[in-house]
Amino acid sequence: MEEERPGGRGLAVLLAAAAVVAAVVGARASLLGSSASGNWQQAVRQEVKAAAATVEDIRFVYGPEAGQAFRAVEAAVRAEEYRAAAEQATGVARSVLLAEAAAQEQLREILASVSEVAKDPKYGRDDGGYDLGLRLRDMRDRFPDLVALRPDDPQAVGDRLAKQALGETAITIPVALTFLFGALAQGFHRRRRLFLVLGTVALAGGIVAAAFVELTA
Amino acid sequence: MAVNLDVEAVAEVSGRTRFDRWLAVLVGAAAILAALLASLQVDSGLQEERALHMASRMSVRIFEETAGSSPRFSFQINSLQQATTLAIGATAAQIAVLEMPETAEAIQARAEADVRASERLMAIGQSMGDVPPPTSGIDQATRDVLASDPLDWAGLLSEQLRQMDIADRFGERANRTLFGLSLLALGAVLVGLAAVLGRGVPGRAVLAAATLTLLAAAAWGVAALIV
Repeated sequence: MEEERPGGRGLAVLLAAAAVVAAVVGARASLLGSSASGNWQQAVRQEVKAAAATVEDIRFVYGPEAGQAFRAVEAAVRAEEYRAAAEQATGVARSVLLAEAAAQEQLREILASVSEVAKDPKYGRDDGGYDLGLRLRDMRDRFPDLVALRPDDPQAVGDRLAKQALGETAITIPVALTFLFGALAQGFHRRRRLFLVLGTVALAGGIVAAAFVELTA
Repeated sequence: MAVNLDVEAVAEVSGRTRFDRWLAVLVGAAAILAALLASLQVDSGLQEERALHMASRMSVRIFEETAGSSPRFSFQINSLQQATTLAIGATAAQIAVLEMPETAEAIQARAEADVRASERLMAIGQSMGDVPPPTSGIDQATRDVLASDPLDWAGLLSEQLRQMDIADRFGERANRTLFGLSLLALGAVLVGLAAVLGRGVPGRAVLAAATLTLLAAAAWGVAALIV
């Protein structure tokens, strides 16, 4: 029967413990890295969703809606100016101006009836124009979830998790030192106890570092 | 047989032969190298991935700002054109009416009204197309998009290019580290093979090869750092 070397069991336990720590730390780092990646992807998805919603709302308000509303504004302003001019005119000129004013007023009514902006009094402004900012806010508020998207938030979470994953991975360095001292203890019997102590210290340091990384994350 | 007996005797007294000691050193060195290369690989991979995601986000934001600011600008231009067209028509009528004295009064009055309307419409179109103030209740991100200009887009483009450069650099670092890890794995296999072959010539030859392979792995790790 083979005689057991002094410290042989301790070395085996140390290496086994180091392997367990390395496996746990490696798995944790992998999970954290994966979560970081997931959060970064989430940030890109949110960026796309938020951008698409913003651009579509702006395009709709400042495109078809604003154009239609401005045509109504033009008709109203022209009608006002023709009426004002008619008050200073006489004869045929007055009749022409009043007829033009009536025509523009009719046109304004037709345009306003099909314009969501022009037919709603809350968008009207004192200068005769319309408050497109208010209209855009109302359009944006239809989907508050899209307005509330903040791509920088998952990005920041991803950055934090990546930093933690790197910290966890770096813990494999003291664990590897444990393997180094364990191997040296196996190869240099005369200094076995010293290497075992150093290996134990390295492993303990790795465990403390892992706890620090977890608690300060 | 005599030599074998001597080796056994030495091993009994000192614990191991030089072969075994070197084997132990290589095993430990491989473990350290693995931890260092793995850390470098994880860091490089994550940095590359982050930079790629940031570059993607920048692309989306460039699109968002160019596509989101142009409708407001276009509206202002179009309203200005519309108002100017009215004024030009009025001026044309005022010129034309010089040849038609019988209708001059009516057309002149209408043209003057059109000019006044045009001036009002220019001001109204301009103010309708202004960026809504902070008190409008529109979220800041949307206001930023509305207010963005080519200078902002250039800044975003520059940031996107910077992120792409970061991704390239860390991608190259990750590739070199991966090659180092591959060499390390080969070296570890050779160390194991040497241990199996033992202290004979083949074992020592394989151990030497393992040493060189691990050195090459370390060199690739260093090469990764200088990218």
